[in-house]
This record gives sequence, C-alpha cells and structure tokens, in this order.
Amino acid sequence: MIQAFHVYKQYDRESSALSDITLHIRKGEFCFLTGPSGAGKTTFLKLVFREELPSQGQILVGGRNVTAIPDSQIPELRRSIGVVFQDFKLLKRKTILENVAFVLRILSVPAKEQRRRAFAALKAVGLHHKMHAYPLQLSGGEQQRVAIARALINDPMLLLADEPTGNLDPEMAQEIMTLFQEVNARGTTVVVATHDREMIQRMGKRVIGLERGRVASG
Amino acid sequence: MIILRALAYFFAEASTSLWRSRLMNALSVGTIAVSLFVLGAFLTIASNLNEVVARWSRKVQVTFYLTDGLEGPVRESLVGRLKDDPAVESVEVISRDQALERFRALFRDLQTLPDDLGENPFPASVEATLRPGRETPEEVKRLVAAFEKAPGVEEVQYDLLWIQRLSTAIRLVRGVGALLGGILVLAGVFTISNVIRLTVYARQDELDIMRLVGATRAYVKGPFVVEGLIQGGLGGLISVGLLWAAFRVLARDALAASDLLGRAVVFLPLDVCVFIVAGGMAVGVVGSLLSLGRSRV
Repeated sequence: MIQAFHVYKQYDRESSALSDITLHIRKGEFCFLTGPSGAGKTTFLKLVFREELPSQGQILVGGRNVTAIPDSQIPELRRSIGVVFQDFKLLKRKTILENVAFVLRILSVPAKEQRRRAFAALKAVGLHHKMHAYPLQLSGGEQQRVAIARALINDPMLLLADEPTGNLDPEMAQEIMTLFQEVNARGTTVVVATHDREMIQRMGKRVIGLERGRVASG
Repeated sequence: MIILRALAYFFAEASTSLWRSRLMNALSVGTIAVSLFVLGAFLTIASNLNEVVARWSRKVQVTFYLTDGLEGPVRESLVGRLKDDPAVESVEVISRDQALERFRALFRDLQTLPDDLGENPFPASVEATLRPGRETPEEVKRLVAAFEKAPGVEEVQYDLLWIQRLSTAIRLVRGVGALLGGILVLAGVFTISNVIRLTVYARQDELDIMRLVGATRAYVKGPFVVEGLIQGGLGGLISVGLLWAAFRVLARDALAASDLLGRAVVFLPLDVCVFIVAGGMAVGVVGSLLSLGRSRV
C-alpha cells in the first residue's frame, strides 16, 4: 500500500527531518510508526497524503507515485486516504453530523445521502445519539471518534493516524485502538504514528521505529 | 447538478459568514456603495448635460436681429441671400409680435413685463438654421462675417460657442467623475480584499481542514468569492438606490430649469444602473481573489 524509496526531507540546510527512508507497508496491514518526538513520524505521514513533498526519493501509495502527481490531483488522493490527527481537526462551528457529512458535501453528494451515510458513520463509532452536538460539547475521546467517523466515511483504502490517542486517557485510547482494529478487519490498511510504547506492546502489531529521521527497526 | 450543489453551498456559506461578521462586511458594502455613488452621480450629471448639448446641437442657429421698421425688399434680399448660402438649411422670419409671443410662452412669470414697458421691446429677426454636418464654428463664423454688415442687420447672435464650452465642461465632468470614481473603486477593491483576508485568517483552521479532507482549491475559495460578489452587488444596489433618492430630491429643483433646457431632467438609463451593480460585483470578486491570492488557501 505504501512504498517509500530512499526518501529524504529537509526543512533547512542544517538538519534533515527524514533521511534515506525505504520501507514497504502491505495492503491490509496494521502497523505502528514509532519513535521519540522529532523522529520524523508526522513528516512521513505528511509525505504520504501529500501535505509535503520529499526533498528526494519517491513514495507510492496504492501504486500511485504521490511525489509526481500534479497539484490538481491532490484532493482526489486525499479522498482515498482517511487521516486522524492528535488535535482532531473538527470544524467547531458545525455539528458532528455536519462535520462527518462535510467530506461528502465537498463531493457534491445529495444532501439526503450525506445525512444517511454520516449518520451510519457516527453509528459505527457509537456517537449517533449525539449527532446534533458541536465538537466542543464532547469529550476528547468522543471528538476523536467523530474524526475517525469522518476519516472512514469514504471507505478509504488507507487510514493514517497521527498520535490519535495523545490527548486521551488510557481507557479512551484503548477504545480508539479497538475501533482501528475493526476498520483494519474490514480491509483498510491502518498506519498509526505514536510514541505510546505500552499500547504498541499490547496490540502486538508490526512496529516501524524511526530515530532522528532514519528507520531504526521494522 | 453537481455545479448547482456547489453553488448552493458557496452561497449558503457566504451568507452565513457575511451575517456572522456583519459589521465588518457593512464596511465593505458601504465603501463600494459610496464609490459607485460618486461615479454614478458624475455619470448622471454628464448624461444630462449631454442630453442638453445633443438637443441644442441638433439645431445650430444664427439669429440676425433686424433694424427697427425694416420691411420689404431689404428684408427679402437678406432672406434670399441667406437661403442661397450652402451652409444654411432653412430660414425663418420672426416678426416683433412673434418674438413677444415666444417670450410670453417661455417666461410665464414675466408675462406682464412688456405691458409694463408700454411697448413691444423685441426686435424682428431672421433665424438661419445650419445644415447637418456644417454646424462647425468655422461655418458659423464665416456666415456671421458675411452677413453682419449686411443692410438691415443690427446685431448677430449665435450659440455654437456656448455649445462648445458646454461640451468641454461635460468632458471635464466625465473625466473628474471617472478619476474620482476610479480612485474610490480601487479603495473598494482594497477594503473588500482586506476584510475578506481577515475572514480567511480567522477561518484558516477551517480551510486547512477542508483541504485535508480533499476539498479542491475552487471549493475552498468559492464561498469567499461569492462573499465578495454579494458585498459588491449589495454596494452597487445601495448606490443605485441612493442615486435615485438624491435624484428625486434634486430633480424637483432642477425641473424649473429644465423647461428652459427643453425636456425634463433624466435619471441614468437602466443599462447604466445594471452596469453599476455588475461593476460592484466585479469589484467584490476582484477584491476577494486578490486576498485569496495572497493567503494560504
């Protein structure tokens, strides 16, 4: 699903965020990307959904070279990838149903179908009963579940999560991980960036370790 | 259908945003309205003056006032020679009584004046109307030079110079209007662009999220462009409304004078009003595109 070949990323001359990353994450896999803060986890994810371009090297996502696609095709790429962030990134002025439906709205899906599918996605994360609430009225764990519902509404081939449990207590974090496992069981490739070693051990999945921008293990 | 849905989304988002920061948006709308009002006011003045000039130029006349008591052959000879002149289209003889009648028709308030004087003070005259295409200052001057010393001619009067002066004045009014209006329209573009930029800053998080979930640039920008369009259009409508109101108030005073000018004072034609509103919309769209070009959208 993700193939990286000798990927480098430099933000300035002195230091590089990523150096010579070569890795392969297979279709349907569930894996963790780990390492201390500043190891390059977030940068790598940003390269995958084309928020950033590598300084050198190539990245293939679902067989498509994302380092070579024109800007006009970026939205289409992002619609095939679900992304979950540590800070949830929900639209505060919209209800959670609207937040989830928004992804369909930008695709000009008819309003009725938007609501139906958004409701189904919220139901899958157990929040359909709060669909008219605004993000700030929910707990952190609930907000993250909304973000996951949004990430999954288009049935993405790939789900990227950047420290999705960083702001959550262990119980809620476990809940989120269980959700990810269910998603993975339905065939979606899941990549979770985290430095939570305990959780990684509990899950017993493949772990790719990054250290100072290089692949240290995995 | 997809485009319609996108447009519906743009308008819905734009209206919500306009309402949310209505004070700031009122500022943009106000700026646009004022600039278009100034432009429109100058256009109205220019088009009215233009109307007058067109009316006057259609009939350039040279009036030869005749010596008192001039009758018979001398007058006939003058009229004949004028008729033979290649620049003259028609010649009309106005007797003293006809001149008095005209005065009475034109100045109703002063109707009793001639009676007060005890006699008819108006001289008889011969009015020569120039052929279309020969209404040039040169022709008029030649005609005047040729006839002012003719027997029986007391005095010559012609209005071409006035028309020319008025034409120059109109060009000036139009030029000043375009300049002032242009500067103010630029100010309008600037205001809209800055107000929208502030909105973009305030909603940067939201816009980032939109891009992250795969919204196209056009989709992210659309609501802002529509916001500018609505602001500019509203500004245009308000300015046309204000112009109309100002016109109604001022035109009442001008109506007395318009009797003299030969027709009622006129408001801007519909297509110019439409042009003003459309111009406002264009200003709004340009303003918002400018701000979007400079920000991270």
